[in-house]
Amino acid sequence: MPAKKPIQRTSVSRRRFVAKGAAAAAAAAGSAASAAIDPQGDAIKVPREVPDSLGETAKPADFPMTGAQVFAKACKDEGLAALFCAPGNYAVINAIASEGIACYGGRTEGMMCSAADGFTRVTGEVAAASGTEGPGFTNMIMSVAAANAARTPLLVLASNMTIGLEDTEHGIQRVYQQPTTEGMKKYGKRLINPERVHEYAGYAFRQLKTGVPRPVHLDFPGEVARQRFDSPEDLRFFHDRSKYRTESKPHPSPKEIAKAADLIGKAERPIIVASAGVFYSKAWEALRTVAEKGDIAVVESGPSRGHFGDEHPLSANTAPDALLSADLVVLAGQYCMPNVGEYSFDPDATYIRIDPDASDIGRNLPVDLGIVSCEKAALEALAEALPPKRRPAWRDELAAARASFDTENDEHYRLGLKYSADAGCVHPAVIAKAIGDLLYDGDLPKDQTTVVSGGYGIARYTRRRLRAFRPGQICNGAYQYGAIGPDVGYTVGAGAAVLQGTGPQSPYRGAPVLAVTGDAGFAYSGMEIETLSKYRIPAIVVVYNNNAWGVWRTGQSGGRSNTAKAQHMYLFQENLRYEKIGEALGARGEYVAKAEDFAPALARSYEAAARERLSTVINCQAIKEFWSARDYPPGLLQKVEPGCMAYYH
Amino acid sequence: MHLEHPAEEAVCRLLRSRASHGTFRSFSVRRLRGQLAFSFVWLRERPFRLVFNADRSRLEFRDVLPNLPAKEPMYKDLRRFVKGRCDAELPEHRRIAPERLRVKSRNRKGSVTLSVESLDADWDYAVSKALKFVNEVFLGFLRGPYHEYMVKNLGEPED
Repeated sequence: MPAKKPIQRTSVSRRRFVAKGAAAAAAAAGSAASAAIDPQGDAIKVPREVPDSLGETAKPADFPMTGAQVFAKACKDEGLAALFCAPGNYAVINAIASEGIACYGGRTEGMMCSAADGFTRVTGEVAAASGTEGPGFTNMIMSVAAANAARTPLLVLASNMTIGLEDTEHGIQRVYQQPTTEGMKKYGKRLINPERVHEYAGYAFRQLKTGVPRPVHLDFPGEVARQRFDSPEDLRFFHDRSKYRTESKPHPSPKEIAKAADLIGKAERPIIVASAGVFYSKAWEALRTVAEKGDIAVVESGPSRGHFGDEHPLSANTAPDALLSADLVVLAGQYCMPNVGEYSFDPDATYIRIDPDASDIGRNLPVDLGIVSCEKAALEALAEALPPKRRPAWRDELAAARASFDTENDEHYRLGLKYSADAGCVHPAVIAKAIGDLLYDGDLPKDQTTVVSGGYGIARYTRRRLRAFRPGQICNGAYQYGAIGPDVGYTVGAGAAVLQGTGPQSPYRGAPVLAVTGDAGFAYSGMEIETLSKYRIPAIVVVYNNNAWGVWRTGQSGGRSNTAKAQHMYLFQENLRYEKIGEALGARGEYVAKAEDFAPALARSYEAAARERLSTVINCQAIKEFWSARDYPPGLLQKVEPGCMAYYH
Repeated sequence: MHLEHPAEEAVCRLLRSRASHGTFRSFSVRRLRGQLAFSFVWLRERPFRLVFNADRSRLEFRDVLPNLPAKEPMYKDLRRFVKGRCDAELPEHRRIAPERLRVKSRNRKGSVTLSVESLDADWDYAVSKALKFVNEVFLGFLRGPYHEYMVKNLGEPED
């Protein structure tokens, strides 16, 4: 973990900024609220109640307690890092807030659920999402499914009527919740026995904090949330967490580690695919030790990046052409498994898979050696067992592949400048280059800025330029489930994590976050700009506006259906002004219609975020035709997985 | 099945080993006009047809790329890519030694067949390199500016 360091602004302002204290969010919102007060009374402002409420001291509950308070106390004891919600499930969210758990209220349950997912993707810590019964709950479904695909340990909470009126349509908002989340959770339960509320909190956290994570969904009927308990004896189960779950992790057998070391020793070009399990088990130090001891390349996959820094000479994240050379692949914590041919490896490569779940080893991809273990324990054991070995030719090949990838990106940029000038707008290669220049090639510390990498076509360009130098630096937004649109939701969560300084974000507390999204995606989550502004979470949201869904060619001539009659369904009105939506919601707006204007707009936005905690929406005007490989080669770029371009697995 | 030639035995054994390993699925072999015809599901979950002509020492992946007319720039790019597999600048593990294998692409009415012809009867080398060759076409060459081709012809998701 890098040492805590002061946050730097852009080169526009070199004044240093040091964010302090656990109450950063409250203090920030408070000062911003004061600054925003307008004597006319009609300016957008954060009401005083927001900083006042955030500044309130926690009031942890003690007996007598309600069921909601018992549950909230269990969440606090388990270290629940944050709650993201829209109002509803009132007893539970209020109790969680009173416990002193960081809470954020946003505009839709769906995007607050994505915010919780985004928070976890950049911290590794469990966060919760909550919504009201019926519509609030069903609004979360896309985000729950996305979290499930990403194997996020997400606690999904929702109120759900009363047990007494089960199966009636008394009142409103009736829905059977647990069947709805079937197939998109690790565990779920409608709590029907108030006396067991603490026990089911234990069920939830046992699932969230062990093995391969996925969402856990609890729905709270009124009787459970409201039940009053005068003492622990009123509960059927009220144990300390050390009694209802264990911190013990599965460790590898010495025999399997010896075999792995032998296979690695015989390989000429070994590579480790470091995926979600490496991040969640915080195995980055062990990973680096193994890699350096054996000159083993490392490439990342999964919903977050940075557990093996891109700057490391053994990183293959930006060396796609070297992947096909690997003769041995160690899949470490690869929960979302690729099938044969989905990862760019040699067909005769030997595979070792490290996974805490024996029942998943061998699924989709044949393995030559399976190791059932916590990823960290396995990598630590491998670090011990591996004899030092140098593989200079492999290092050289990785370096050459990285250089070749950089050259390809530079060629895209050269073309992007030309196309921008020809078309009178901004090509995505220009946006990608400018973001890379600001974040990694200027005065900002390279490891400072956490990025939410979203969008569709734009992401094919920006992913190639985004870099990660420490754990949790990139949230790979469109991972596996491929939901287009939760990007601003993820930004709320990632931004809250940085603002709070949770987990690996601790050294960067208060730094701006940057998000990339598209015009189609922005429509799903753009209202959460208001949430960013309300909490003064400093974010720069880059909206690539090409007047169309990214798949517009499918409705024209590029897709399988090939029917021009369908084209209108893929298009938006042209020149929509998304930055004005940002302004209307309390953020800044930047409109960029020329390539040369993007970098200055980005710098101004970073400056405003760092200095004033103001978020900005940068609307980058482009044209849909940039995705045509015939008119603007290379058009919509393809991807190579694993590595910096990956988002399927 | 009666295997008439030691080369057939070797090739059959080598391909079967990939099926036993799980790399190929739905593997089968039959004799077709005197040659061995292998069928299996492999990359992109697609069925592959590999025909081995022992007399000509040739392994042919038949019709691996559909709907690619010879006059298309993409096919010209493919030919360059195929030729480049023997480039002296490639590392040995990625390179096909031209003195050991002759590598070709053939386009018949827009259907592309890829083949390798062994010049030294080293079937381990030939089979291994043939598989790597096709793997590189799918995972390397086709990752170029051919998204629309992939969507139309190889089942690439639009998303």
